[in-house]
Amino acid sequence: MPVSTAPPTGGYVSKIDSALDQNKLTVFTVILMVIAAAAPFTVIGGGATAGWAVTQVLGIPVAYVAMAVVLGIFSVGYTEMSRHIVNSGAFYAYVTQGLGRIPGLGSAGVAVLAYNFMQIGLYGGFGAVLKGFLADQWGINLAWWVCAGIAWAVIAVLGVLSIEFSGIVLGVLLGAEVIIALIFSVVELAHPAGGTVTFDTVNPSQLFSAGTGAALATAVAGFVGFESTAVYSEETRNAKRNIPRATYLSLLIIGLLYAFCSWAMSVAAGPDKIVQMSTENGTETMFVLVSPHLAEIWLVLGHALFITSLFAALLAFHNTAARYTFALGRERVLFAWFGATGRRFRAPLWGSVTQSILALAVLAVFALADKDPVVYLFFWWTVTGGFGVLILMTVTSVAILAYFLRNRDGELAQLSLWRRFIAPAIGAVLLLAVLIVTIVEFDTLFGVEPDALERYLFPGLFLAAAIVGSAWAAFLRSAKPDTYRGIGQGVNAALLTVQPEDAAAHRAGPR
Amino acid sequence: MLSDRRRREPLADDFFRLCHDDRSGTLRLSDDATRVGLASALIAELGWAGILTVEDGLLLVRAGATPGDSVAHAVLDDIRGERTPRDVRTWLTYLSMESYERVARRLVAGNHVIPQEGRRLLRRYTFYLPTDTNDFVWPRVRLGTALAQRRPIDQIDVHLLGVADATGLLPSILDGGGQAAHAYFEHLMQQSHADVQTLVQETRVVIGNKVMNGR
Repeated sequence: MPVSTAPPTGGYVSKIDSALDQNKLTVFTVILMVIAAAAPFTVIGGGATAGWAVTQVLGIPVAYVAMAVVLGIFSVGYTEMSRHIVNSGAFYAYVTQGLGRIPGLGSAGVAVLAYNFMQIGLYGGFGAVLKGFLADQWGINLAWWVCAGIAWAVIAVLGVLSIEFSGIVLGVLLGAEVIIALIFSVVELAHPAGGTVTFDTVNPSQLFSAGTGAALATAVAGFVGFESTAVYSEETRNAKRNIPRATYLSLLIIGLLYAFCSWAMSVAAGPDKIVQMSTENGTETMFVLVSPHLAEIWLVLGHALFITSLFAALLAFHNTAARYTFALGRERVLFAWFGATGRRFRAPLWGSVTQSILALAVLAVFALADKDPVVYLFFWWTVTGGFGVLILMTVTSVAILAYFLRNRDGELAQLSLWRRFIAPAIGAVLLLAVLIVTIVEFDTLFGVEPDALERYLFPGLFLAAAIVGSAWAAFLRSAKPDTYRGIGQGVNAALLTVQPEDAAAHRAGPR
Repeated sequence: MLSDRRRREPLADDFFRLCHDDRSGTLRLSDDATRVGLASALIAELGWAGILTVEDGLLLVRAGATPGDSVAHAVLDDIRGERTPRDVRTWLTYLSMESYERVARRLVAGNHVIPQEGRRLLRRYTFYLPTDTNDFVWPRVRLGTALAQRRPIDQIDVHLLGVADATGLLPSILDGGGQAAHAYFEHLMQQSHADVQTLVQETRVVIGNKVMNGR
């Protein structure tokens, strides 16, 4: 560890640097925020089990490992490029810098749609789990959409007031979640089906069997949110070293946790039975597996944490979606009032309100349609969200390659070949491969017939969003050149009025 | 400026007035936006005093002049204390840590406000009660009517309006003026000095970033 970072001027320490440093984040805090938003308990208890039930594909645990590796490779170029551009928390900023404003705004359309799918889908999981918990514990029978509606109301208010969980609350909840998940896993491993611990679900050969695209897409949904490390780059101590570190560590921790805990479930159920058990028990699978071996209190605690985990994810993705609309409002790509903040509370006011209205509309439709919320809302919508983010990451990886091939001056000249070419290229190829198998196996992912309308409709929506975004950018180029210039800049678009062309596109220098 | 019926108050003091209710003294703006806005106003004061200038996004001190009051002096000392010039954004972030207390201190010393202790959810906090409601409401009235009637507005007040816009306070000033008043404001901003525009837009970006980061 370097003892001090004093500049070569001797004993002089900048007063403002040390003051600003005090408020900065550590690697630990960044990891905490990222993992808490990823909501491990939701992914393990909800994502993996619903994945088995819907896709009928065995290899979900090994898919988590595979995706962690792919995203790790992608992150090499991603975290490197994040230091050189503004608005670096948003994938479309990378696409804009690497491939241009028209694909940039197209990917912004994909992003808005993807985070919406993700957030709204989580209401289905929350509603179902809370409904079950209330009925089991206190005999209160509410419809799932009433339970989801309660979360909706709370989140609508918290979003407008800009209230988020504090680091301490998130840390405690996350710590408890992880501990319970590990305890459950150890109990499951101690009681394997048929008396032997099996490794079928983590066998890498699963990745080359039918349905691997569905398994990988299920896994991707569990990782969405890891990209937010880049948002904190200006606020993290020694960001150049710490942001990549936080990104890799987050991926490593959640990847291993997801894989371990889902594998443990498959061991306890038996690899031949896990699909059937998940189909029968849904989000209760994890609890059904450990209930013969643990006292009641652990199950109650587990359910409570499942609910808080879902809620934390709902709130995190609500804010992500609201901030996307806010940033696009600041760019004046959307109506400028989307870029207004609440006066009394520092919130992306209209982004937040819009998100709430959309969610309410979807909940209303699902409540009326009387469809299973876990399969058709929670699983379908969150994996579709994950699929959208997969598209974004694939395009972003190509944009990163293009950016580093085009920009080789200054600090970028010193970049190793691994960082600026090899890793981004491998990442792009791998992500593209995952994307293609996912598209091919979208019917398996949704658990529908190969010619079902949904398998084309859901992925097709992203194509539509990309076309609308790109077309809008093309229109802005000729109709509103000033707005066109601001695409991809986020809140920094304001500076374009006072700066010459593209001066604001890149940060002034390494900081 | 000639049409002002009162003595010119420091820009940050007027921004402080805009942020608070003229009767109860309660803050009308979010804590963050207020602090960043006040930091921006403090920089603006030194700018209009001819002491600071903006070059390539960096805040530079011009030799010679000294500010009139202790708060402006303290801000200038901070800026002079750095060996290398820093960008506007860094200064806005740094100065926002103490800007509220500094400006409040100046208003207390001038007997424009009286510090009071309030309680909210078992937590004590200090708020500042205006001594004279007319004095407090003056910036809003002055700017609001000038915009609504499209009267000439001096450069310092245009700067104040810019900071108000960047922090989200402008709608409360425009009150009743409608689209025409807003268009007039945009026209004034476009005509303003390049340094003013840079400071205002950087203020907007700092607040926007706080919204994006959620912290």
